[in-house]
Amino acid sequence: MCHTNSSDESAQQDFKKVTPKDALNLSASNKLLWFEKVRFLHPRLSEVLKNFEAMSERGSGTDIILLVGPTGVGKSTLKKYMWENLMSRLQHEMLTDPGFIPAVVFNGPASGESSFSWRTLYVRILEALGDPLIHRKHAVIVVNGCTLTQGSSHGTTVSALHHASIRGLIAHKTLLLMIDEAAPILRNRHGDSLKNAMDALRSLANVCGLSLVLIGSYDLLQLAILDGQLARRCSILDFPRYRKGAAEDEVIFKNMVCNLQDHLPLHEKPRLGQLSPELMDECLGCIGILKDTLSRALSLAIKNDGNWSNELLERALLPKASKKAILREILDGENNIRNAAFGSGKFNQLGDIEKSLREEGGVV
Amino acid sequence: MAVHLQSGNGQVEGMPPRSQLVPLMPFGVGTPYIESLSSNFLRLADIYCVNPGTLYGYLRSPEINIKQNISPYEITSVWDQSHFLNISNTASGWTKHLEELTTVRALDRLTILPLAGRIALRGVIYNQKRWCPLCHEEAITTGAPYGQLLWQITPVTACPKHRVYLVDRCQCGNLRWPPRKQSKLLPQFCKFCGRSLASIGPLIEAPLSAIGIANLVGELLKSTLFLNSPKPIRSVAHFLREAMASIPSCTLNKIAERIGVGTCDIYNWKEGTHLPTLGSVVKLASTFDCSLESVLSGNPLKAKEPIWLDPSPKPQRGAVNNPDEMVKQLKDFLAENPPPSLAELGRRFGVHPSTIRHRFPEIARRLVDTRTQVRSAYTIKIHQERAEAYAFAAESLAIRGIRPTRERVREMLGSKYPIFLPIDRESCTNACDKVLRSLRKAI
Repeated sequence: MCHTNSSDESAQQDFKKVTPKDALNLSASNKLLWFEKVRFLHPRLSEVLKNFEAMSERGSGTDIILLVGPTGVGKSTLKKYMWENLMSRLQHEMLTDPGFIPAVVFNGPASGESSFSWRTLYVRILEALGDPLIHRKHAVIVVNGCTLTQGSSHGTTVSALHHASIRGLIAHKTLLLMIDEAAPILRNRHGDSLKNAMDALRSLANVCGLSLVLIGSYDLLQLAILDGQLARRCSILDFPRYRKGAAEDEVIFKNMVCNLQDHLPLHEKPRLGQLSPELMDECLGCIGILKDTLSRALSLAIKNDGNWSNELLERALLPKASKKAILREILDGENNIRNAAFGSGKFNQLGDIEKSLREEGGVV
Repeated sequence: MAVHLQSGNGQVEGMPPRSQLVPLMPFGVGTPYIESLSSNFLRLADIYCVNPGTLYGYLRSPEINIKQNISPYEITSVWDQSHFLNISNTASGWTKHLEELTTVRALDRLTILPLAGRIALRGVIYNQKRWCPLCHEEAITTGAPYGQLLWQITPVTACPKHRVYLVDRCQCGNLRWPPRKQSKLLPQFCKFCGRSLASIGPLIEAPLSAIGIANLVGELLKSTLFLNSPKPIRSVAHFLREAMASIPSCTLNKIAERIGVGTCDIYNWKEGTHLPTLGSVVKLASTFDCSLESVLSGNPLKAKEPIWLDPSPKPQRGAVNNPDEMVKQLKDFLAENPPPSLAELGRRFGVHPSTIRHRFPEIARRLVDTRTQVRSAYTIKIHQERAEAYAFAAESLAIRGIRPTRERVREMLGSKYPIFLPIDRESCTNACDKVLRSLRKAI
């Protein structure tokens, strides 16, 4: 987990109060930082947010929420909104109980090891909870009626960390455990091994009475269909891109382009509304990619004495090979998610399912 | 990159400041069965799945580290020692420190700190862990076992709820010293063997006098004196002065005779030059038939005139209520390994130890002999084990080219084999000398 230093934090705090007009007076580096912090709650994001809140409510019957979407669609922004909503919703409870930590958020542990490291996952959870003495944890065993502790002289064991994580999450009354970039959980795991990993995560959510949110690309879809039990307790929340050809999507995308254009900290604002169809193509309908592209173009414009031009914007677009790789991933994912996402269920689907299973030869 | 989580103590952007440690609310606040600070500390360490000694070392700050040369054994058991709950710098330092870290207020109620300036420090807290197995059993079924402050207050010898004597010894006989490192340290487990303290028998029914004292102290723990901790403006001195002024029959001599102290002691308490012990305050409250709170807060309004001419009859020395039953129980105790001491048995049966010795000489002799044999065998075994460890450490040092000395062996072995007693020191010095002699011979 990365930690931002105090100067960044103070800058971040300041940026919240900076208006687009004030941003014109910022230094070059701060202009870029300010633009990076600009966020918009566009209709698709707000729809996913609403679905997420419905699913993460206690008693909704969902243990694990898989939040999937194409890369650059705005999942991390969504995560920030989720966090802010949660904070504002639980403000009173947090003030009355200073030990209450409603959500734990961190990036999936990618430690460089060949397989997923449970130790790193538990350490991340404990770090997020602010647990002291993470490397001195012990597990508890009962031998012949004697309750004994079990530790290692060289540090702590994975079972001790697991035990400590559960105790910590329960003690802090955590409601949500969000793992961003959760793809490392799948690394080098297939079949039973993958199922075991998911069972362990589901059990963690169950024991601690929290909702586990895994955020990532469409790769995560395979987690939800490992077996019937997981399929029942797991919900998939799709965060799709805006599509070319859908009139409503095109209008929203154009609005977003205009909004971002207005927030570019430049004295002469470019007219990007006209370029909206082209930008929608180049950014594959993803707002995150659009913002990254504009950030790169802004950086180039600042270097060019604050003069924006369409050539600079063109230089900032994604290269063809990158676009191809992203598009392939998006199309595969969209194909897989069609019948799996939350809200795709309908009445009288059983006949079709039986038919398809018979065709596959899975059912006699 | 993590977006929200910033610092190592759970402080996060957009989140109000969190407490550094989990705010662990004490059990039984406002009742006689309030939790003790020791128990609260053990439960806190359990939440973090660390040894309490480790947590103690981690949380210790210069302000509360009163004793500089603290030994390793003390670090691993400080919460068990009487000064952790007593009117002491350790207790006040720790309560303040834990209040800051957990944001739980008024932790001083979990110690006897609210009585500071009202009673003498001496002997208020029992120097061993005590408990009521029935209370533990009840609490385990409800899922919230904890150690009560009431059990640790010396004048209290019985549980007012279950009307049995408190227990201070596990089935294992508390024989292992130092305690096993692997035992889970929680209020409901034995620190020596790790067994549950709820299933310990046989329990002995406590007499009414013991229950009365427990009730008196219990009332004090839920009184405003404990809940609000007011500053001691009025004290026992005011109580005595005003009671003696309002009750003409009250004289220094009569009170001293009833309480079992010297007349000058009562005079000193009355003048406010000395403070009485909690045991004496309990006797004062019983004498004037009022609450402990009244005595300690100098309020004699509810004090009644003692009946001086009818003193309670002293128990006849050597008298035993049910000798057959007592013999049967003593034989049961004889089967324990090791059996309890005569002093402990006397306390359990409510008789003087010498009564057991005189009335049942054969059983008493066998009890004493068996206990001595078991204890000496255990002591010999422990010393042999330690001597072997010292010799091994001395040889290891010599092999590494380091001259073996007692200090180096002590450092090498750490707290596992402490060198406290003279016999340990001698044994360690001998082991070092032996290795040195063999080295000289070899050269």
